[in-house]
Amino acid sequence: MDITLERPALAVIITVLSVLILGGHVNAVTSGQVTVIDALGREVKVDLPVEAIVSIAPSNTEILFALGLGEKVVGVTEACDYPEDAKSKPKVGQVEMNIEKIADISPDLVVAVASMQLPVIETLSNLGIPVLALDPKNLSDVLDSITLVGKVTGREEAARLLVERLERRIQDIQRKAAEAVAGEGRPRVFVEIWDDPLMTAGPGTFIDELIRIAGGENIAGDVGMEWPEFSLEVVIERDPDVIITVWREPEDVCTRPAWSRISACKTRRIQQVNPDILTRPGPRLVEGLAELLEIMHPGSID
Amino acid sequence: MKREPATYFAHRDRRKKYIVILTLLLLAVMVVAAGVGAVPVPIGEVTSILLRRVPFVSRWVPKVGRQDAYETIILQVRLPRILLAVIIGGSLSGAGATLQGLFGNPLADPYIMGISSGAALGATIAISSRLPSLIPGLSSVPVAAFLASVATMAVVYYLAGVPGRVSMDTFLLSGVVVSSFLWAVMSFIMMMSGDSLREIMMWLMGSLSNKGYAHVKMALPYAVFGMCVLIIMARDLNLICLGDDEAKYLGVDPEHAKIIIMFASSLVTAASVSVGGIIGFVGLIVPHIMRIILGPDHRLLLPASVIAGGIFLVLGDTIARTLIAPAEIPVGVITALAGAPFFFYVLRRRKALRLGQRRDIRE
Repeated sequence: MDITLERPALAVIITVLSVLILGGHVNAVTSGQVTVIDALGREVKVDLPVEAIVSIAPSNTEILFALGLGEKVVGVTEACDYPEDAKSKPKVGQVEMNIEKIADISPDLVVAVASMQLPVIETLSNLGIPVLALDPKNLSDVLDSITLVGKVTGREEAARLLVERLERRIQDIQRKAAEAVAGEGRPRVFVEIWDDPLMTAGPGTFIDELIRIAGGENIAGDVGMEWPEFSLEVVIERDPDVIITVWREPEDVCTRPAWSRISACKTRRIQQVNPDILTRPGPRLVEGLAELLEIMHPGSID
Repeated sequence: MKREPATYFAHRDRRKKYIVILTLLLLAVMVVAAGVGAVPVPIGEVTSILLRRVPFVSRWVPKVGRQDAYETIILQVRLPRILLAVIIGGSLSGAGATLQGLFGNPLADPYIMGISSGAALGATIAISSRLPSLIPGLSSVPVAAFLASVATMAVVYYLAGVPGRVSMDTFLLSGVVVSSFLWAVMSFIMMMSGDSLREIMMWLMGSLSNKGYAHVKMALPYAVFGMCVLIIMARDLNLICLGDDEAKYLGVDPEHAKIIIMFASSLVTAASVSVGGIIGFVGLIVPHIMRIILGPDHRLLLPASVIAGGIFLVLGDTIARTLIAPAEIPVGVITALAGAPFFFYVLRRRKALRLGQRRDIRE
């Protein structure tokens, strides 16, 4: 196709440059080799075109499908339940991945999560399977992850469009949240992840970040842990205006005697939100953001 | 050997004296614990809030400060939690003291019969399947844990061949086997449910977080009934410790007594594990410390262990809920962290004391 691609070194330089500088403003590379640096700082070389991808995390599966790569996905985990089509893909594991199955599929690319799957990443890499590790810690990291996945799969244009669309949506929500905060202030929010023991989401979680962006204040924002066991008496003292549950029915929250005097219980501002759109680092986080805005500032989305 | 009546009564006085001292200490610890927490409440308001709940006294106590929020925190959050710590600490420690005597094994603790593994499996199922709560104010987890631990008890008893002639070794083995089987099932469920791993781990470490009077009401009847049985059986237990034949000569049917004692300890353990998770070391260390201080007579050792277990767990839970506030530490972590070094200290002191006594004798 291109003369430069016959010289691997030059091809690598060009692709790396395009990754670093052009940010996707090149026509999709459809054949040859792409090299990127992943979340672990490893150099990942992938031969294009990518025809068979295995995703070993639900968030990665969502990113791949959002980039229109659903047909190329040939392996997912048992937990990959979105979008609907992902459920019918062959399964390669639950919490532990089945290395033999992945090796048997022999995919062009495996997309993993850096912080949770180091041993699997190492094993697969040693088998000569290219593994791209993602590790988004906040919303803008998620957008970068989408761009990165677009690059290694030759879907840069799709990734650029998706990221632009998501950015517009985020900015729109930020603007509406700012207006609402200027009018009525930031509601105090308590997120009940689990009730026995009482657990919530602290700083460093997507939930904490999304609450802030959507114009709220997480009452556990000062805890030194991501998923702390939280003090009930502090919940009562900080008196949240809104309670968000992920598993418990909202009706069950205020039947516990100590909870009935909390503002959120008096005004019945208790909502259940699907945890997947609050915790999975994929494109649907923006849906979670919109849902939080609607809960914390009702009526601000027209 | 015939005991002098005077010695016996002196002994009874000694028992009374220790029980009274320990009870006062427990009450003091409970009041202090009610005043300490993530939210600082002035001591004047704590006493006012508590005294206003005491009949007759209440009319003389004035209402001070911003009592509404404080009243909820003290009466609805801390008090049920403190009561629960007393119930659980007392149950585990009482059951531990009993089983150490019964098995004649210093390593015996309330969990040795496999009851905790049953509770753990029940809780794991309830958490991983996100079972909705059926009783207002009480989540599905303690209910599932209690049912599973009672079922485990039944299986262990069946395998050990009760009723009929009971061998303590068969009982221990049956408990160990059932326990490791249930832990395996639980590990499998945990592995399959990646989503709820963190919640299950927290529960397993033992925690009194977010507990209310519903939990107290759930555990109290079984704990009180079981402990009364244990304390009534203390004399029989003393005789069983002498040996089955000796007990028989003194009018105790050892087979019968052992089954009752085992059943009562299992029941109190099941009740406390299901509401508090697997809180370690209380049932192992507190009875040992009490035995070192008070001697092996179960008529004193059992009630003393129950009260001391309550004191120990109230203290542990107070640390658990204040040390890194507003976050909390699972209380099982605190009991193990504090319990092990303290136990070591008591062991060393006893050794030093004995050496000292020996030297006295030699001199």
